[in-house]
Amino acid sequence: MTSLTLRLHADAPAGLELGALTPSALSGKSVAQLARLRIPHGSRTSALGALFDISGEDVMNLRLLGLNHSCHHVGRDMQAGQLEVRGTVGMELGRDMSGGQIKLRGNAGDGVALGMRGGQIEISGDVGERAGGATPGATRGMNEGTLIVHGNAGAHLGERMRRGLILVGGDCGRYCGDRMIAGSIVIFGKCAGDVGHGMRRGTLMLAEMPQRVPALFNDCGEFELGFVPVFARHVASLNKRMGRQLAIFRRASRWCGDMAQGGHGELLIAGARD
Amino acid sequence: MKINRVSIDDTFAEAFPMKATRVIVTALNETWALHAATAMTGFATSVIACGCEAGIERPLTPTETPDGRPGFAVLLFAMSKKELIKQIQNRVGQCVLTAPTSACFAGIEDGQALPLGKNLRFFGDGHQIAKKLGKRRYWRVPVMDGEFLCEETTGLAAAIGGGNFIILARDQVSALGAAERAIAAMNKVAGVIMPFPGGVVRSGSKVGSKYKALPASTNHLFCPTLRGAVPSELSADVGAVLEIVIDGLDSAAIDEATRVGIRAACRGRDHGVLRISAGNYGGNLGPFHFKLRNILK
Repeated sequence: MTSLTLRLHADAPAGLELGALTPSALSGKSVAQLARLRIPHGSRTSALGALFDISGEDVMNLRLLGLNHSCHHVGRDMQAGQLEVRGTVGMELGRDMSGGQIKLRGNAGDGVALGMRGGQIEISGDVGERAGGATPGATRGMNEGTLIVHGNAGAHLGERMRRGLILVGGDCGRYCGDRMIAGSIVIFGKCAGDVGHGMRRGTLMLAEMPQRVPALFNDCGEFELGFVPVFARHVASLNKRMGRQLAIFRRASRWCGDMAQGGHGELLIAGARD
Repeated sequence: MKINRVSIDDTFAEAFPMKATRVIVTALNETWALHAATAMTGFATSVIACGCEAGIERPLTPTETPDGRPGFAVLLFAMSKKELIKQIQNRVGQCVLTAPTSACFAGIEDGQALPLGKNLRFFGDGHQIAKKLGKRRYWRVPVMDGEFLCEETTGLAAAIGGGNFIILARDQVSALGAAERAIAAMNKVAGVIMPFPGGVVRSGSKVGSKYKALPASTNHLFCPTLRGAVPSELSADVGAVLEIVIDGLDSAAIDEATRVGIRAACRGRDHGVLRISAGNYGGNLGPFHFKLRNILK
């Protein structure tokens, strides 16, 4: 069976809400039923068949091609299956996702993996602000699952994150791990200031010393921590290159904080000090 | 049936269901991993008085361990899940947590989860850190040489305890030599341990005693010095008897250990081994019967 492939028409209207296009939600529908599915955009709706070319039949391996920055909520509430996306997507990719796998070849807007509860999202490009954060009104952000970003991440990455893993191959904006409750974030590039602000628990692993270590983090010294090889092996099972890159944390500086929140969180900064 | 002039009795070893788990103990180098594993499996020869039977299953290379360091696979067997949980907690807590540079991981992933670091984490006094990686959770407990890393749980396996065979030889030296050859061969079999010192037991027991307080006493039928005093299983030329007890994760592993062990015991030109037998209780107590001649076919 070939993957069910939906290719967006070049003249499709802006502001498409594509939250309905997940493998579980489309499961059991015939091609004719799929074509009649109503897709909201702004205050109007259009038939899926009028917006996309539809081919293939394996709904659990869904491909969305030719998307643009005004396609929002891709993979929302996704529970199972594979979703391959090509092109830039708009806001809240993988919001409230609880299972399955999303692979995006392109960039994503703000709010990637908001409230994520399971599964895996891998993005070849950049993501906007508040990736892995909390949905509006929620007290906790990402609560399970894995987010892999090969490019850069915007500000407030992992805001109020409760559990799970975020890997960023490039740089990260300000307020990384803002009010983080637990979980792990690794930044392989540079990290702007104000990391771990209000952090309660969890681990921020930074390849480079951030512009400024917050005043409420205390230096614990330099260590070879036993969990790093186990962590690296897990990361290698998700992405071999990033798993290998984690060797830089073999010896790391440990800073505990935010002391105003109990000091149970940690910054691990790679490499021996000069 | 004879193997290299040694008579194999037409009998069977009678074994019992047990609860078991495997844990992986690692350390900075093999020496310290062995210290931890040896301490953890100390005083664990028999459930009669030790609470569990435990032993080192095999050494592990760095490529076989979760943290890429040298380690040992340890098997623990107990009569109940409750006792096994207690023994894991006490032994890992007192013998692995305390050993410099050590870490401890689950060796069985399936089955019911048994607490491993789940309760030991409280040693961290609130400073412990959880790390959930995929479906597995680890605890980082701060200790004086850094951190003790311990997986939260390990898996429970239905297992078999009490597989055995008995080596009847001309004298002590011959019996011990045969037992040593057997253990060397059996140590290469996965999924089994021989819990007694060096894998060998010289005080084979029978159920009951003339003394009411004792649940077990010496197996007089196989004691050569009592040959003239009591009904004996031993012919006049038998001067010493040693037993090898086998606990295994399944019957196939015990079969294999028995097979390679007996064949190794009977190897050589002037081995001095006269007979191989096995211990049983008439077949009425244990549901697992390991028939020597079937295994050695």
